[in-house]
Amino acid sequence: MNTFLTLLKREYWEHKTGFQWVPVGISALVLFTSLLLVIFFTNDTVKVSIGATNPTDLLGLWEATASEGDKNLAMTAWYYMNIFNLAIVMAFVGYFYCLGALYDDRKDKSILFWKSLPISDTQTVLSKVVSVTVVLPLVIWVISIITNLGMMLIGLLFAAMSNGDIAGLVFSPSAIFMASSYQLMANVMAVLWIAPFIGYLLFISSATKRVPFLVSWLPIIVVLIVESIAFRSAHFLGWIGNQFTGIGKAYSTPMAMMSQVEEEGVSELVEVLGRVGWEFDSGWGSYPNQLMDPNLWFGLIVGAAFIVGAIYIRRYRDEAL
Amino acid sequence: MANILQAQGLSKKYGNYKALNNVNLSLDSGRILGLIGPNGAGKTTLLKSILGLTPYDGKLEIFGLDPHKQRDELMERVCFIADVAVLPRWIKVSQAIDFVEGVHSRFNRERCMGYLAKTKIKQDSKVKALSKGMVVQLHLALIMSIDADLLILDEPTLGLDILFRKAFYEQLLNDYFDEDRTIIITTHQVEEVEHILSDLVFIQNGEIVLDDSMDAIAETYFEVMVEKEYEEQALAMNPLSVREVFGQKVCLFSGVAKPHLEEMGKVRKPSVADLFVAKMQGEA
Repeated sequence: MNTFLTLLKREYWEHKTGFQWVPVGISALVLFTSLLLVIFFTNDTVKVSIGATNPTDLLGLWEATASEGDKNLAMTAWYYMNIFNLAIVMAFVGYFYCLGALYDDRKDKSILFWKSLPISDTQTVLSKVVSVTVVLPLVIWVISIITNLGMMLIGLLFAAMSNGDIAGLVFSPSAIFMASSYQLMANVMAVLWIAPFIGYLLFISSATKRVPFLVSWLPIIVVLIVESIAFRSAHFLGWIGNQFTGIGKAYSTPMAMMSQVEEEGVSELVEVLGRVGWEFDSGWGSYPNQLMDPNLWFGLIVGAAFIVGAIYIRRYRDEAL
Repeated sequence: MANILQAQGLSKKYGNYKALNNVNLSLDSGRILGLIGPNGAGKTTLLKSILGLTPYDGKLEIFGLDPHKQRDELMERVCFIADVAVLPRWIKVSQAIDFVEGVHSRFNRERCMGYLAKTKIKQDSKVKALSKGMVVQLHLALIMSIDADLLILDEPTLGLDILFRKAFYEQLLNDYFDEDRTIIITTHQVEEVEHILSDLVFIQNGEIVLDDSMDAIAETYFEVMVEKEYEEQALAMNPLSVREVFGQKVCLFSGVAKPHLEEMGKVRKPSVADLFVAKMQGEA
């Protein structure tokens, strides 16, 4: 397993900017913006929203006549929302990572160096799969925990500047712990839903001779057009839409789950969340429901098939380049 | 001396173009083989076949393994530097060393550090910050620190200055090579490697035109500075090649007894470069 660990390290070394510094930068930017908002706009009349999180919304929460438990849930939801910025970063980083993963080393010919070492192509491709499906979401998760703590500090500053009474509300280790564990679960579920596209992009990356970015869109567009002309239907588009809805579900399910913790708190939670600009649909159910969705499993099989194809091409391509 | 490489009827076609045409080759361990040929002769294709990087027709076995099908096992014992290979530009020197150590059980870190200590390469530099020559030095240091049974070097010293080239071949012979190892080298700078080679293979148009040990070649091929009065006699003996130096004919003979040649003029061992030129012109 030492070889595989070394391969994972290599991916991390190469993609440290995208895997680590870009999400850290985005989170830092969000925290910084929040800090500015707290400092310059802390009063009852001005409300400015940037991104999903806005500390001035805490004021509304404080005014709600909700129970302690509901307030705690709302805080959890507020902390949880940090994941949305990071999920978007993760999507972009992951997309470009997959496109380059099996193409860049062929382009710069360093593949001949990697291939001069006793590493099988299966190991190489799987190390890229694990990097994007396990390492990246885990790094993002760690950054989201740190962001949660940062939001707490800013919230405390806000409390100190406006209404000291909400300090106890903001300082809530249990809310942060819950939010963080939801963030992890959401990342895991999102990866399961996106798996067919990860496999597809790695396959394109392995197969294409040039410009993987353009090539990655071409087959999708061709299939869409051919299907609409030949069958006058749009099942393929529907399937893609369903997978991406799955990703949406993955990230919004914790909101629904939080509402189910305490049945009587739901209406008030809905009201409070409505005030912070967030709507949820409890019909999206739970992660166990999603795990039993045949579409999710079909997607995983499609992803696995593409990965096998990517390995095969990398292994048996006539020219190594 | 065990046989390590066996090729029979090895062929490779790209469309109608025959990159390799019925190549037969055999190599024992403990040899240093020089694979020499003009551009496009099939050298790289032959090496790629040996390294399992391309499919081929015919039979090919390295250490009894089929390189294309059993590539993963083969790479435990074989190491190579391809002519166009480059180290990834983003990697740091220290990371490259850690990486090779992590994936290759036969890598010797001290040895690599020893090689690098003789260069100006810094541990925390990235490859993209190194000069072209330094990248090659780093690559060679990494590969030579692996205890491989077969080392394949395709134009290993391309882009290096003469001082480093000399030092490299000395190091290769003195520190690296021993009777259990085998090395295959291709290069255009034939004169720099000929003193370390034990075997020589010329390849042209995908076919092997010469395959012999250096000892056998020294007993077969002679170059004669023919005295003026013997010129006609010499030309009548079908020399492989004739060139003129200071108005005197220099004839290259194959398989003619040395005492016989000594009558006609000064006899000496031809350089590999001259032999190569003679063979290539003869075949063309």
